[in-house]
Amino acid sequence: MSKRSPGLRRMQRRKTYTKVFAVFIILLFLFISVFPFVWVLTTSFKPSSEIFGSRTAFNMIAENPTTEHYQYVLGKGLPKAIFNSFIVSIVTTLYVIFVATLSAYLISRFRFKGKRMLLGLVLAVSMFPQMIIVGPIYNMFYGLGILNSYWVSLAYSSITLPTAVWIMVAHFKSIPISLEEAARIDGAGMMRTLSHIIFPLAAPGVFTTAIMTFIASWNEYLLTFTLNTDKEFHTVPVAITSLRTQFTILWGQIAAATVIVIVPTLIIVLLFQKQIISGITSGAVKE
Amino acid sequence: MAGIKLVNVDKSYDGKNWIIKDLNLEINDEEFVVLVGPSGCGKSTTLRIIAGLEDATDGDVYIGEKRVNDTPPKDRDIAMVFQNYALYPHYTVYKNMAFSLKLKRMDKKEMDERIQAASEILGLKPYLDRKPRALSGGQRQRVALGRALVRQPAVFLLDEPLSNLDAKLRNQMRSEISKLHKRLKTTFVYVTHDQVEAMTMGERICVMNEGRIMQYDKPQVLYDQPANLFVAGFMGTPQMNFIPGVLKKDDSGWSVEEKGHRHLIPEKKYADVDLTPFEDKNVVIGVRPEKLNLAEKDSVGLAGTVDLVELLGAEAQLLVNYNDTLLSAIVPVHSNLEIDAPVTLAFDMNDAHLFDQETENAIFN
Ligand SMILES: Nc1ncnc2c1ncn2[C@@H]1O[C@H](COP(=O)(O)OP(=O)(O)OP(=O)(O)O)[C@@H](O)[C@H]1O
Ligand SMILES: [Mg+2]
Repeated sequence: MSKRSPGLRRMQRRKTYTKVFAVFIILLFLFISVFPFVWVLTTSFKPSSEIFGSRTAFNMIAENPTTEHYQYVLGKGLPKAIFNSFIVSIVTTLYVIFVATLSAYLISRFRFKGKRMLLGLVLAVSMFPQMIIVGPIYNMFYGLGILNSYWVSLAYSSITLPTAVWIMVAHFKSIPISLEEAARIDGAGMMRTLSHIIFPLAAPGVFTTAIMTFIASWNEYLLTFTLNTDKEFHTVPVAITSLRTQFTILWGQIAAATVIVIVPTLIIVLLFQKQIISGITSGAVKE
Repeated sequence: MAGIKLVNVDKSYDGKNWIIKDLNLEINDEEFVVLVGPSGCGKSTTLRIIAGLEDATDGDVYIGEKRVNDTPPKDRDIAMVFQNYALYPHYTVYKNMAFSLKLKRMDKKEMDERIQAASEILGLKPYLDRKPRALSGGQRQRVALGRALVRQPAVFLLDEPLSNLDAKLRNQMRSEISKLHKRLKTTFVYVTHDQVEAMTMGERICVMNEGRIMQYDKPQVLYDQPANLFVAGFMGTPQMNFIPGVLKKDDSGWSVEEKGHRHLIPEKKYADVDLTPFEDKNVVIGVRPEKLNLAEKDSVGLAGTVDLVELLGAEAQLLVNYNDTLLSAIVPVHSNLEIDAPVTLAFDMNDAHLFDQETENAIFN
């Protein structure tokens, strides 16, 4: 085939245009979502004079890079906030995994009245705007006298639990029931079937759920802000907002603190993105 | 070693629809019985009731002498092979087979001996350390069999174990399972919806439809003397031809009248049957395609037109449109027939079966 028909050539040209267009859109999207992070990163290394200087404000790279903002935030209460964040996120994750695994297993395996309704309710709850539930939760915590404590994990889990249950249900459903039946015939009781057969197979789902719960808790702002007004219990996202004086916002410090909060999330996502994505989608199609 | 007996077993999942109705089935010790029937007829349900994975809503289940309705699966002395194999994906082949033995707290040495012996029989020795993921479909099938084998159960229950394999492998595994049965001398209950599989493997075949047993007998009996239209149509490919007519009696004897033809029934066919109750009733003649031949030129017979010719190899299957019923006949390949060509088929009433159209039961075979 030495000569291609004009029709074919036109088609190929059109294909090229589509490709260029698609790449352009992707780049645009990437720019919009990544640029703020890059900006925060560079800002965190600029001395305050450069952040506000009329000439230097729009420089991508600092002329005199400095770590003063990092030193400032790390010396000023942020370590305590990081510690709080870890405590709250880890406790939330463990609790959510425990509850979600057991309830999702029951939901996926047993037939009972109102199951669809229950699942729908769980989904609906996960879609409530947080602003709506913050009020009641505050009253509850106030009544129980557990404001300003790590009990905030409990409130966190009310946000993350529904999604966790849904993901876990999908995972358990993807484990064929015949495996459990085989185990039953082989002589395994319910607990052994769970511990030896089902949980090992659901591990990827548990893992995904754990990571997503951890990230969600790590980034959570509103609940801690409302329930834990005491600085002692501030998590990093909340601590960042207190980085201001009466008249100015300390952009340099905020940028530095933000970079510090993002790091764990970033590491987790980069390390486990494959598992996270397959964890979210598996169970969606029959294999 | 144990036989199985189901007595008046009913099953309903929801209390309204009866999946199994009044099922009575007796399987002898060491027998190979195949449950066969169309999809949804309740074969798996029956097997699962025997296994104890489902409860019978009513009726009694016996394995050996013991009524096992209230015995959990693990204590029924059975092993089951699932259609999707149900191998534990995170265990190696060895551990898959060891799982049940470990739960029985068998000592390591005996356990290992059993597993080695089973994998020897099934040719699994090279794969003992692999996980199921790294095995081919046929090998997985063997592991599933091996897992059943090591338990040395009194009864093997197999639910369409070969349906995920390709045709060649299926043939091979079919004969291996039959050999295994001969070697082990235990009771096998084998579910399939493939009647060829049923015919080749079963010592007795239980044909089911809509939760009921249509006929339960040796393969050859099912084929030669189907008890009703369902069994006649289900066993054998291509399907038996059914020609509706009316049973008549006159001076020359009994005959079936059908669209102007009279098929005289040879006396020896009804030597043991009283045809009088069926006089002037609607009946159905059943003729197997092998017994339906091309008629000699100008002779009388079923005159129709060729609808389709399908080569089967040495022979061809001919579909003939006869008064808007399609009849299939097996004819020699060189018959040289073209679509829409007129053709006349003939058969010998000695080879025919007769069914009552109302009850669908066989009148004679
Ligand atoms: N757990 C269940 N709940 C409700 N109905 C069920 C359940 N399991 C099976 N059935 C119904 O019982 C009937 C018989 O099912 P069964 O699995 O025994 O059929 P089968 O003969 O094995 O069919 P196949 O050849 O398709 O496997 C079907 O109509 C099915 O829909
Ligand atoms: Mg079935």
